[in-house]
Amino acid sequence: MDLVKKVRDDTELAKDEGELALERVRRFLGAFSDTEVLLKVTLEEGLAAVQATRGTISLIDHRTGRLIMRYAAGSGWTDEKKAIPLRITKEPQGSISGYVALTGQPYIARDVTQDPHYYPLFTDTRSELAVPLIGRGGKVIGVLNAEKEKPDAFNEQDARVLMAVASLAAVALTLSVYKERQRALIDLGKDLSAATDVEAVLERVVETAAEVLDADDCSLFLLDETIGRLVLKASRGALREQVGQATYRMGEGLTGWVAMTGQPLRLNGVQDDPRWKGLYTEIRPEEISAFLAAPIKGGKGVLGVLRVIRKRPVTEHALENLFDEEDERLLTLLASQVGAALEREAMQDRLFNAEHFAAIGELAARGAHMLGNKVFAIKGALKELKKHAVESQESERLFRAINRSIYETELLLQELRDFVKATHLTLKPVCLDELINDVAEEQARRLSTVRFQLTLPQEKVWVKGDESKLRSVLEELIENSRQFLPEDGEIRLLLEADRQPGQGQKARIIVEDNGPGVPEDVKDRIFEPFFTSRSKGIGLGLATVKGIVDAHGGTIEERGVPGKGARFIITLPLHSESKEVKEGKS
Amino acid sequence: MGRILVVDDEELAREAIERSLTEGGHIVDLAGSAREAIEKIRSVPIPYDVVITDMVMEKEDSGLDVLKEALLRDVLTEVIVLTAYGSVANAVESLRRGAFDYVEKNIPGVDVYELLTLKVERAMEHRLESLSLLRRWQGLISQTPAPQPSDTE
Repeated sequence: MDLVKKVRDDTELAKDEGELALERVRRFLGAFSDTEVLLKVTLEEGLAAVQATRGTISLIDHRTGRLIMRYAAGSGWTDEKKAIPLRITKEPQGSISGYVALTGQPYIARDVTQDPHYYPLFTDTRSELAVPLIGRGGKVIGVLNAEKEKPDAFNEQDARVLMAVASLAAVALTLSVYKERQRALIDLGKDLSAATDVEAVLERVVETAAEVLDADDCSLFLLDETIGRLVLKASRGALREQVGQATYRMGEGLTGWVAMTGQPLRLNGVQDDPRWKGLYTEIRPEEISAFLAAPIKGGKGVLGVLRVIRKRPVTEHALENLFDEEDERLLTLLASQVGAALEREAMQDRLFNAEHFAAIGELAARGAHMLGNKVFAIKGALKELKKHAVESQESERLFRAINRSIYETELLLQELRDFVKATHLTLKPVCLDELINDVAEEQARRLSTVRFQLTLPQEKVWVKGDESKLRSVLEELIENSRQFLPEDGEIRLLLEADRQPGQGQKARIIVEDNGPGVPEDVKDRIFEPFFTSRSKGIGLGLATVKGIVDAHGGTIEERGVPGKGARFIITLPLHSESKEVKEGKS
Repeated sequence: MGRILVVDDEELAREAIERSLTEGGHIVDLAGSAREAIEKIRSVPIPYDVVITDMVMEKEDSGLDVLKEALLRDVLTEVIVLTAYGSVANAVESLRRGAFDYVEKNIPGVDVYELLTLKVERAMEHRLESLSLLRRWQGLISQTPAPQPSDTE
């Protein structure tokens, strides 16, 4: 290929032929989309251009901090010789390539026998020329070297020519990295949009991020709004075992900081950073050379954090293995893809639930209406029948039994009606701490055997909601607890508010007890309509509670430990104009 | 005492309401549908004092049709709307359109027939008050030189 010779001519002669040269460069680059071919051709063309008899092209492995030979040309090479990793160092006999990798400057050894850096792989080599491959950000990514058996074989001009070839290769290598990143992003995008199994996709995200960012490990945390913490959802290495268990509070540690601020974070080492806590690390903290984290954002705020780390290279010199701006952009892009996918998932979930709920609601409404009419008629007829009936103990007992059944039927109908009406809200600012206090006092009077424990925040907590419906939510949860409580039953009510700006500001109500708790196998189902393990009712109590909370734009989950007690956690969006309301009221 | 039309498509319910009102001394007429009720309201020689109508019969808001017809016949007829877990919105709408009250058919542990009798008593009182007020006004108007017909809408 005489293209390189032309490049040589171009560098020697014509600056005004810039356009033509550029065109050649493009063709040259286009020809080698395959990295392996590119390296091989670069080496061969480089050697031909400077009339060398032997040479190598090596790339830096940032993990080990060594130069790894990728191709060798010329005679005398054995597999053993090819496999020798070269240290990146200026120490004597560390190798000329190793020295060039460190300095980033071309190097000519006119007589290797006199050269301090030469590493004697061959006895017949006399002169050597080595040039760096410089990638994006001026970072040395490898070394191209040429050798000859006669001394003083290379001059400055040869160095310039070899540099030109090396820089073409470096550009092509960088481009191929970009292409690889692009491909990974597109593949991941496809995965995310077709995702049915969220957990599997999150694992894929972690794998892809680590791969394209050349990171040693990657972890993904998602914000669990119910507990207000970031929970580890996927990781590659040591942290894998702690998936679902490792959590950060908002603002806690580097990861918590990223979630709280919604800003990416790029660090050179972590231990010196004041925000660093070292709660959960993929590798030993002192081994972490670089840290990069990006927030996973959704429409309403941060949904989680995606973070990658690189290990400090095991090498004696200060070769830095840091993330750059490009990496930061890439991770941010990956995180935003994840954010969009999660958002879509959540939306579909909500949509499905809402439709499901509405359909059941309509059925329930019609059923309740028809049954209600019949019960009304039966009551009327029964009243008349009683007048005509022969008075006896037995008829008296039967009438009582029928009345009792009618009463219970009407209660069931009421339960159905409440379920139907769960989503019909009349919104007003509601002071949650007052409401909870009120309900607790009332229920404590009603249920004298149950101990109530109340934890309220100092500040008032306002939400926009339907007060009577929110009241019935609390009453239903308390009633639900009571049904299962032991003799020394205790029900704890706790209210707290997340007022961190930037986040979805939330009120959190926790209703917990010391009853048997909700068995693991039914946890998913307790909010389904007509699911019940109580003797009374038709199983719409918790479905109604969920309907009401959902209609408020909130969430409800059961997070108790089976055997230790039930723990219902409700979140509701805080009312933003609460201050005005307070002032307006007083 | 009062002349009352009871409208409900449930025969047993109709009869039971009739019984409890007859015991209270009222004269009760029955209709099994909104259509039948509207015919009776139009054709009865003297307008009913009180009309008790179910909300959901042929249609979701049949009760509103009955209400409208009753008020067209005599604006002082008192209408009580019954609902069995139907739409509260419709019940509220009936109040907005001039119904005297609405009563839920199924209140656990409550004898709604008794409740209905009480409501009818109150409706009768209300009607009598309205009537006497109207007569006083009519007396005043007849004494003034140029009477203007007033628009009840």
